[in-house]
Amino acid sequence: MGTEHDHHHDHHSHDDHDHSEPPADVALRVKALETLLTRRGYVAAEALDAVVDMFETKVGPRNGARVVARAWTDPAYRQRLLETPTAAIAEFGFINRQGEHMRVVENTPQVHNVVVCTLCSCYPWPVLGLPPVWYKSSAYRSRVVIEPRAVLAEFGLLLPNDVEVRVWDSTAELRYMVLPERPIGTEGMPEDALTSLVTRDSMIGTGVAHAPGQASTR
Amino acid sequence: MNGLHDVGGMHGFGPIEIERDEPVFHERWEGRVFAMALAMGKHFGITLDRSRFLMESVPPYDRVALSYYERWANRLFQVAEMRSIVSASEAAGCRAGVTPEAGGVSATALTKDDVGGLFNTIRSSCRPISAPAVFAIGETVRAKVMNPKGHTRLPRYARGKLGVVIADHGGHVFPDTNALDPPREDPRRLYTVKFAATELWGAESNPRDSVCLDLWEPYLERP
Repeated sequence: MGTEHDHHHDHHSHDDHDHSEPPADVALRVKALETLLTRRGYVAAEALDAVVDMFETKVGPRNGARVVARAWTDPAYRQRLLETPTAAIAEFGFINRQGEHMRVVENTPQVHNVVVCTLCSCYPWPVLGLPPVWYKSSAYRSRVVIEPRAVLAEFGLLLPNDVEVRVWDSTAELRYMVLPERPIGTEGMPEDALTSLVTRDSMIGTGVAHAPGQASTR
Repeated sequence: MNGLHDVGGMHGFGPIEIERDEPVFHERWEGRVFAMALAMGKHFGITLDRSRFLMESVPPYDRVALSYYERWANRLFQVAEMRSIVSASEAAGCRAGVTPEAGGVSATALTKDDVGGLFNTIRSSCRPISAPAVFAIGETVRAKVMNPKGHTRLPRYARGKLGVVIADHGGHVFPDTNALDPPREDPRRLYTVKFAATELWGAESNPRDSVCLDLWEPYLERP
């Protein structure tokens, strides 16, 4: 039986509801529908290409990293980001779908924040792009609310017992981004260089920002 | 509805599978499904809440066997048929991998130039409401015990639990009615409520930990 991780089609018999023809591979089904909708004038291939390109190359966690680095270097901006997050993020031009009502939650030495959507896959697209598969998986969504420390440990993040772990379940149209702590040893680093220390996971809360010199992953 | 989408607190799904250097779309068709779902929005004319409810209504046996974007693909077929954008026989043809002959052109396609607007259009769920707040920030509230068969955004794991109001966001479209057909926005006040992990899960949780949820006024009551 597949899980939400199984992107390869291991289902064979569940899609045979009421059609005499056997169902085709999902890629063929999608292609057939695209062709029909295109011929009929509902969609245009180049518009679909542009949507895909936007999420593959333009909208993604590098946007959020710029916001975080600004907040680390500009106290007035940090204040605006925490108090009026949607407007503060819009200063970069990052304002669009799934970012209409942004909330920014700040990590401190006392509080570590982590974001989930237990009911579906809500995620702040304008600052983080589309979510990774694990964020949408039943494993993450079921477990991070009941055993956040065990989940964070799987990401390599071990938190002391005296740090409060605060989980944000995105049940409405508010979209959450974590403002990670600025790594030590980055005093005097310029905003551009700081941006490269901000990982996607540090803005979800399943990671922390890199220390200077640490290889950038995730 | 008490569906398999509402997984908070369930056991048995195993470890988190973290893929390094993960692509945005793993296969080309996933991107096409995603883009078509967005591009067809104006033709489909269904609310986000209705769309979520359709996804939740997939029978659990099917749901567990489908990947995330396979579910999106199925919903694309479902709504296209529901809105008579494709006929039942055309949909069946596409499902068999055969593109049916298209009839007359009936729509204005989204063009490449429209794509920016697709994202920059702000779809706020905020609505002004005149009713004063029933609950105050700092007040202890209880999430109601309720089991609606329709759409709701009150997860099972919070029902019946006590929490503290930490924010008041004013009026927002109410998902439970906005998911109906036809939809009713019926805006209600939205709060953020903080629940202690020990209240939700019992004494084994770290007493410092908490889970915060955004909950509408009709989900809450005075304890």
